[in-house]
Amino acid sequence: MEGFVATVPFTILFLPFFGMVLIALAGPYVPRLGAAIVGNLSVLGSFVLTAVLASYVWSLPPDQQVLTLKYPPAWATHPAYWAHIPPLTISFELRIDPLALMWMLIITGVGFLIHLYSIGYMQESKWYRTFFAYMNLFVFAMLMLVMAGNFLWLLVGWAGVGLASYLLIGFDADRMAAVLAARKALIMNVIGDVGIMVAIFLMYAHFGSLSYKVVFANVTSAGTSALDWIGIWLLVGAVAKSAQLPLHTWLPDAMEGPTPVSALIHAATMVTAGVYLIARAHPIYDHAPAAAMTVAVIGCASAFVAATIGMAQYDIKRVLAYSTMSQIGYMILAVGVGAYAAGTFHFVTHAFFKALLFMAAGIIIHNLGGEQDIRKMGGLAKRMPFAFLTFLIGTLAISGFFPFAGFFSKDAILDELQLLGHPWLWAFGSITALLTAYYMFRLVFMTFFTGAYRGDHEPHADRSPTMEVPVAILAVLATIGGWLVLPGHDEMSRLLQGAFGDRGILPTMGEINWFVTGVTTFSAAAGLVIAWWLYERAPQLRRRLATMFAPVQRVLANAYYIDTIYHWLFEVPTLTAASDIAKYVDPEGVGGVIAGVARTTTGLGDAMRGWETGYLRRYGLGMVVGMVLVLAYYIFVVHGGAAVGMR
Amino acid sequence: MLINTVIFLPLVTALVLLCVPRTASGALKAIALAGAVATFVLSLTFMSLGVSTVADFTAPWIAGPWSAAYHVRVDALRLFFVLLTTLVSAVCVWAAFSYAQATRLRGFLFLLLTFETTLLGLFTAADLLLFYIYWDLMLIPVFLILSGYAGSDDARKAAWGYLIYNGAGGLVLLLGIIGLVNQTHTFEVSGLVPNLSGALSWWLFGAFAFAFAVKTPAFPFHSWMPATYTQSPPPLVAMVSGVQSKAGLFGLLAFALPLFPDAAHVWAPLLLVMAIASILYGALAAIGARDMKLLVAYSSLSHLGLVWLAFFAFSITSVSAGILMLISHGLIAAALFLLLGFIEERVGTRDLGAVGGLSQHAPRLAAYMLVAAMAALGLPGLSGFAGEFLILIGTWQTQPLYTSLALIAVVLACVYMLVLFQSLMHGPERLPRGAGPIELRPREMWLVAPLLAAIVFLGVWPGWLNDRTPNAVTAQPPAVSTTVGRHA
Repeated sequence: MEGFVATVPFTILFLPFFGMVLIALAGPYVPRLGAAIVGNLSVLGSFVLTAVLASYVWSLPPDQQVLTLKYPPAWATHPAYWAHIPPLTISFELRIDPLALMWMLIITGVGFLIHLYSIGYMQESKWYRTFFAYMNLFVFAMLMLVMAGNFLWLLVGWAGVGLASYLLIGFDADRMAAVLAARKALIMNVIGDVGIMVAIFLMYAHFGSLSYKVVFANVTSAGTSALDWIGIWLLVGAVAKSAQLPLHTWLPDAMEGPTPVSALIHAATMVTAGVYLIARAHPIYDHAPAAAMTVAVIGCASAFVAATIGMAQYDIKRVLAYSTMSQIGYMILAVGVGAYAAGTFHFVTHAFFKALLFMAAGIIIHNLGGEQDIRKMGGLAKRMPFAFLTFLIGTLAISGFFPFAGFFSKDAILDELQLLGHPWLWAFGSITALLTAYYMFRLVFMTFFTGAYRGDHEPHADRSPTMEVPVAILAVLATIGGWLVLPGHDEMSRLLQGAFGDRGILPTMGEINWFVTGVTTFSAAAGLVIAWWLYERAPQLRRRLATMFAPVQRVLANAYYIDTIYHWLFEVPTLTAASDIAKYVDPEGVGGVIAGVARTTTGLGDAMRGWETGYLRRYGLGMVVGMVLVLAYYIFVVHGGAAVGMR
Repeated sequence: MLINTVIFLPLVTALVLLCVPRTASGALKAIALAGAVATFVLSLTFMSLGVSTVADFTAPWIAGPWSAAYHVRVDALRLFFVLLTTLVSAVCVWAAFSYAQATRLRGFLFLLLTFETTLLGLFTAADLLLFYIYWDLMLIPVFLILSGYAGSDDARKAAWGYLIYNGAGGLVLLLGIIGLVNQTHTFEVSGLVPNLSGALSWWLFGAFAFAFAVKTPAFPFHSWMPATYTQSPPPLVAMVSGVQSKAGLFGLLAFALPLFPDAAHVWAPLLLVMAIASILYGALAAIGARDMKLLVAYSSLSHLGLVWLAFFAFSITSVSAGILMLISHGLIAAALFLLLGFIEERVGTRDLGAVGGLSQHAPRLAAYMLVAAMAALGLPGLSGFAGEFLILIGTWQTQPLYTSLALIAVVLACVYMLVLFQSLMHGPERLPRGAGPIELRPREMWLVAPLLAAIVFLGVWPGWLNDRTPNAVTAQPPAVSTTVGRHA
């Protein structure tokens, strides 16, 4: 078993990486399909191995489910470290535990399905092979993020997924909108990286190590206020990566990337890294009440705000983007109040139904020749029954209807909010559930019903099995994925027990709180009914309301003008200062003043002009002679030749 | 003798070139490249010495009360500066083949190789007089290439700016050295155990620091840099920014900090402000720059400002990480300037606004640029991050306020590197009329590849370098008197 445990995690981690290298090296010498196959198989291989590893780890007793792997192993005669400036030592280390495994299963599993889907979806792309190389890079970096055994390697993965996200958002590099969206995403993510760096600096100052093991074991040796600060700075990273307030504005723009990218990176996996980070650092948040409360409030606010914006958007992918931000808000809220298992559970179900929604939407967009505006859709239920059915399942799941996956996980979060004594957070969570059902069914009605098709070009109905099979699998998972937690049988908490100890088994996950469940179900149903009423039954009423609340509508449609505010608050001043420095201050100010002083005081300018007519050789010779003369002056004149022994 | 062979092999190669007819360009190229590569390979043998021994060579030179010796050495501190020099020089000699008219190639190669010897001499000098001589000799090849081979009036002006500014710096350094030797009566570092009054050592350290700040350069002594960096032919600017810009910071570590530890502490508050000013001012200027080489020049100002911060925050971690950062910056700056040189050569302009969408025609060029730009941006996993992160984790412990300010530049670096990369590579295609094929040629790919490989290697495993520079820095704050362990 020793060898198995030592090699399998590395294989899981590096398979997608080698897949990428292979695709990159083979380049145009292999057919396009070859690159796709390499990409798919490498991720599938990782998934299979992860499943094997997971079944092994979960067969161990809960208190032995944390495996730490160091490279090179302890018995090696030549230890190697990532950095080694004593007393600072940073090792190459991985940590496999139930939390990491849960993420690894989703990353490689859903990642594989999306790779499969991409075979057909990206068919017309000029950079087909590159796409798979980037996707593999993403899977590798994301695995690094969750498998890391210390905060340094977490940061490497963290920034690596940022890079992959950047590359894939800007994948259509000739479109300026995509290029700018990619730039914005990377810059905001780097702000998050800096947050994590500061947290790391603080941790190093307090614990002398970046290793999870050391930091978490000594957490109580630092004071509460220190832990609060570490928690806050980690939160900055989480907020940037998970598109939470106030660093969320890159996510809607990120929809410029191809749809499989939106499904994999900007819905199912990368954007949930913030949830992972906070769950991973739970020993810190357990002892940092103020930081944990901040996490919860930011999650709750993001869930609510994003849902309100989602009600007023017309781009199908943007609605889904805001719904992602909102659902991640739930997860952040959950881990903020200490409901780690519930947050992780919602991550799992969300990965299923949100990847499903994006990929179903992708089929629609694909068949409409790239159209994303729902005002130009309508009546597609009959024309694209498969997309309709799967999208509907996804919508039912995200809205929290029994027995779909989202019902169980959202209910678990809201249950725990009640139980842990956060009535206000619970109330906002429940209202958000209503808004979610409303904007999602608004999307369904506008896309698939509301009379006839409104678009310009006739939709074609390509059907490709590589696209439909993964969508169908996800539809099944989005239906049954929530059954991990059934009354009296809480599989999720059992699986996570090894990672969170007692915190994993909050009593409510397997119990039914009829009040909460009733409110949640009622909210979802109310959202559905309102959307149906306004879009199917009484469009006149909708138009009347729209005119009545036009200013509100405008604010929501513009996402509270946060982008505009940031533009004037940060972008304009920085760019103005920068271009003024480059254009005026540096050439004329700093440089000009010094050159001017030199010219006027020494007359060097005139001297130079005369010299420039001479030969280059003379310049060089003159300089050497000058230097020698100066040197000689000091040696012979000042010191009377004593320096060279001439007494 | 190995050490002298390494130092003078480039010069000997250069002299051999003079015996070859100007027109035999094939022979000239072969000899120059063979010499530069041989130097690099020979310098690699220093690695086999292990970390506990040093290569050392001493010969008596000037006797008497102001004694000096020809004393050169390669130790933990110097090793990687030597390797950086030989690697970047070999790459630049190869790159130089396409940057001079056939008839002038010989002179160009001659000067580049001479430049390499002066750099190697500087980084191995263990005697202040020797150090100073190389310090000034370095100026000559740069000046001659800049004024003679770039072929424009702007370049000639830049050459004079470079010479005057750095000459002034050298003069001040000379005054400092004389002031010191006047007390100690020897240029030999091992004999330099100064017992100076506070005021005198304050003045002397100031003189050293001024010269080093000009050479690096650091704000506000950088005004020679924009013209020099933009006007130089790519192989030269790669060597100046990649290697020569490390001379000042090397001088601090090897001489100024161990010689005047107390004065360094007195000066530190001012120099820390200078460091932060370089970091932020350089980053902002880079964002505003519309000239691609100028952008990278300003980014150098910012990145090397970080090393000043590292040295004057007086934390062991950050001083040691500063060495890593210097090596890493040398590789990244050389790679970036060479790649930008290839682009300028093809499109005939340095204006970022005039070029765009190159990646569509040149995926390999785009991939190379991506690695170099991401390394400069500080992407974890590449060497730029390793240097930056390890510096900041150290400075945070002693100077949290300045470290916070420096972190702003991490975000700004992301902005300017993306502006550079995306303006050139992405967006709608924009090409000046008559531009030739854009994609990298095999020779160009091979010559930049070693730099990128080193960038990746040091990013994945900076500990490898840490373990080979263990005693380079053994400073214990607050006293830095043993900064260079082996010299004390």
